[in-house]
Amino acid sequence: MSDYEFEYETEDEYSNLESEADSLDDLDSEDEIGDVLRADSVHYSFKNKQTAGGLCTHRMRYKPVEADEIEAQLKARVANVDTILQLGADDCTVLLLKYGWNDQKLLEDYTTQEPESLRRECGLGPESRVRARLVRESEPQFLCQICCSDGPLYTFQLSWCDHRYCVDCYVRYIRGGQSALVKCPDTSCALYVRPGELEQLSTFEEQRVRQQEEHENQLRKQSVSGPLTSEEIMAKYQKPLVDSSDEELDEDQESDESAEDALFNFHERHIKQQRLEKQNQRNKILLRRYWYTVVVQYTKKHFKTFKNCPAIDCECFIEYLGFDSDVITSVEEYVAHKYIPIVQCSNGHRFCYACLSEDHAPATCTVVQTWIKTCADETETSHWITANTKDCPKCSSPIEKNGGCNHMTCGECHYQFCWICLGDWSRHKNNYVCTSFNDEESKKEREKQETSRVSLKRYLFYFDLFEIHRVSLKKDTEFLAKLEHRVQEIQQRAKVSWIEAHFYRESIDILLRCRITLMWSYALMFYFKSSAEKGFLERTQSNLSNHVEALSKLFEITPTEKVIKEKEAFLTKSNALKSCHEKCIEKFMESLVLGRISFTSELK
Amino acid sequence: MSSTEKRLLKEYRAVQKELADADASIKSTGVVALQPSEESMFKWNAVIKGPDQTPFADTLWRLEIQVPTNYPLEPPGIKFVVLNDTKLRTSKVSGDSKICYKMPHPNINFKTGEICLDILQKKWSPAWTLQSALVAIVVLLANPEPLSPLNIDMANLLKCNDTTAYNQLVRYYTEKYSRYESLDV
Repeated sequence: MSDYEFEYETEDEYSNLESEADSLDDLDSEDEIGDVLRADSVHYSFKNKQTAGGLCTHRMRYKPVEADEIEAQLKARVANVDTILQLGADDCTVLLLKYGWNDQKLLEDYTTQEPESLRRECGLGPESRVRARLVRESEPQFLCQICCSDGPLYTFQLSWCDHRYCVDCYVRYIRGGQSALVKCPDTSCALYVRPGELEQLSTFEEQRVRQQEEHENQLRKQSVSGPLTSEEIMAKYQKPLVDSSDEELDEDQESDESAEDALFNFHERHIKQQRLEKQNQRNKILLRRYWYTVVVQYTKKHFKTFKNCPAIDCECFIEYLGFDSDVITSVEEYVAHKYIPIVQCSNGHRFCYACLSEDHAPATCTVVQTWIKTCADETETSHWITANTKDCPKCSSPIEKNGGCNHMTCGECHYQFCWICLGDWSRHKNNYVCTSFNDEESKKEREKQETSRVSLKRYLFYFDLFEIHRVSLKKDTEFLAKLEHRVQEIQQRAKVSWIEAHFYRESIDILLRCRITLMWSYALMFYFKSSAEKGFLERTQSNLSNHVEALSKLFEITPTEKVIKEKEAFLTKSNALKSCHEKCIEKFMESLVLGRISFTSELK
Repeated sequence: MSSTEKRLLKEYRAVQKELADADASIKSTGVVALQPSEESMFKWNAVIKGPDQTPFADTLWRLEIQVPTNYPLEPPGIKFVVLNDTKLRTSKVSGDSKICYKMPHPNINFKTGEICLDILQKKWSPAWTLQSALVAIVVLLANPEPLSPLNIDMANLLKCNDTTAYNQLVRYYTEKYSRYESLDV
């Protein structure tokens, strides 16, 4: 599924430079560049070290990580602190959370301060041990203080306090908490729920849910009489499948509608169902939810090093690993040099690490922000108003002349004036030829309108091109949503393996990416002053556009047999497009980074 | 019956039992009355008494409590009943309890009666009850926190350590905007 192999090199030369332990130590500190290169893949924001034009590209190093990997890292750090403090993983987790993962500070405080008072401050009990059997059945006279249910109930309590509540309330209470550090519900108690204690509650809860499900299943089985024929079974299992897929399509359409006007619309590259299942699984099990919250909190705190993928519901992270450059040391500098740090998460969403919007190369972050503002703003509407209307000289309400003579009567204030010179109509003595045409003021007025018209035309030209690609992109994305089904069909009809039918998906992937690039390149062009360099870039752009159209045409082929026959064409066209796309991005980048092109005043 | 309703019922019983022992309850906590409104179990009315040795002493205030449907996981919304009626004093005397309809306090919004108290927001825990929340409000009256003010004027007086002005101002409002009513809530 992953398609970054062809775009991002996996360079192993950096791996194994540092031992595992070192990298874990330095994760937190700012000087980790070069240290945290763990034994797995490092990715780059640009493919090549040098462009064809000879520009040495400074590249950002990053690594797509998933929550599980960060969780493992954090657990290793807990274990690391534990080897020094010898308090057990549970206490160390709470201490580290309390100290915001600043282990240096924690170790310092632990050695200089009184352990007893430090423990109390951090919401830990007198001992590190986690007592067994924290979940137990209560005596009949027990009353849960939260829900007021009477015993006997299964209750839960922390190891070092005796505030017992029923399991249901405790679970709901912990689920309601936003932070990973959750206190005992009792108002006078300062103890935090530790992972070891939570584990007991989590296991109990899990078992109970499973029992319930089994029970329901049994009930269902009992209600079915007689053995089912294979057809019946097929029908039974196929039906919900069809239903759910229909539902999903509907949902997709709905979300498309709601996001109709959004400029950024990540197209889904991974299966929604899988993702939802993963989320459900995690939410079901308290302990896993706990660690996920820990990870999210950790990445939010270290937002410079970790970025959450901005695509809706995507839970991947990007870990920043520094730059392979002596000149550039931070993302801010990188962006200031007009580079665009595009990264790709494990689910294949490409986004800008600096501004967290969907892949917008070759337009720089500033261009994107200004463009979005321009599109959303009323400024262009007001341009239209200046180009097509005039203000009433008296009450200044805008008036559009839709025919008729030059004798205007304002609908608002009934002032009568001449459309050409905007002077009082009474001066025209009922003579329908304006005599004061060369009047200074009317000249100025006309000039103002002229410049405004040109600017509007320019904007509309680029906006149209941008829109065309945005709309095509949307249609292609919708197409992609149905693609999974189509690929399967190709496989079955042509009796080829999944790998062999994969070209179809890859082709549409590259097509979508090029459309995004084209779309943003038009927005970028709007802000360029006309020059020879701009003409040169325009040729590159139209070249890419031609390639896109060529590949796009192939997708019009619908009969499956024919698609398979055209496989060669798909492959050559998409390969040509790919290399053209790369070159296009490189050329734009060279012009931008080397400052060969200047911007118009519209870009502040 | 949902667990929220069950819990509210239990709280109601506990409160009634304590209020029957009226003198003790008022003296110890300052909660004078607390019961659900006639229309809904999720809307309660309460009366508290200003704590002794403060300018709020000997005056009563009415409060409105809005209980969320997922109570006690979420805190109740509690606010003082504030009337912007300028003719309060001339209105008829209908009882013997002096009830004030303004609350000049650094952490309480003078116009709306909103209360800024951490346990009613972030620090809420399901182990709190409506009654204990009210007690916390009474304690807040005696211990204002001028560093996070909703009423900047009152907070500034305290920040300048001008206790005389603070006390006088509170006395002024409690005199001017009070009327005598019977305690039926």
